[in-house]
Amino acid sequence: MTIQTTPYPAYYGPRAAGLLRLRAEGYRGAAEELRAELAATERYFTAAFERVDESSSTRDRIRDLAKRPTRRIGA
Amino acid sequence: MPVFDYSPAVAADPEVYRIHAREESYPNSAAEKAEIKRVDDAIFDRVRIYENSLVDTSQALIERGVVLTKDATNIERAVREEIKYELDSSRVDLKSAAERYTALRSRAEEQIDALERVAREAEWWAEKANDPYAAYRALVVRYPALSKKY
Repeated sequence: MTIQTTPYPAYYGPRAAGLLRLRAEGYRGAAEELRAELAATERYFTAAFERVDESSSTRDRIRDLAKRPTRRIGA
Repeated sequence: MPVFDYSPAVAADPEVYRIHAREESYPNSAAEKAEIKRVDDAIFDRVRIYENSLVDTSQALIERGVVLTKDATNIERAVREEIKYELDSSRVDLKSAAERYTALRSRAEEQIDALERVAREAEWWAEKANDPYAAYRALVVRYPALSKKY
């Protein structure tokens, strides 16, 4: 026959464990939010780079055109 | 007055002492009850000390987590307000924004690592705190020198 012992009457341990698990989720959530904010900021950078590339290429084309000698049709 | 000498040489596991106390033969039921209670109380007192230390560790960990979470919120706000909003403007100085973002990103990555580390630590301690008796047994079985006469 297996001898049964009485269970240890835990006080605050299981409550602390519950709180720790809850907090652990919160820490992971905070890490995820921060990671998401970095990813979003990098998307903003991509958009800003594209805007700059577009406007600089337009400016470059205007400047190139302005430097060329004037050629009129029929001249 | 202990009836038996539960020497640590017998076993480190407190459960073994408790079973041993129950398996012994006694002159009468009063002596049996008294001895089982004595052994249980002695072991539970030791587990209680360990349980309290687990609770203290949990509180310290939670306090550390509060500071880390607050710092993470501040970095997140700085990234959003100092970089992201500025990138929306057509007059943004991209070089300066990139420099500031690189510094903030490095801080953010450190913070992410610290948060994930504290989360893993919290889960590790939670497992112990959830069942202090099992955690104490595992500890003394692993380090028998911690086990004393009950």
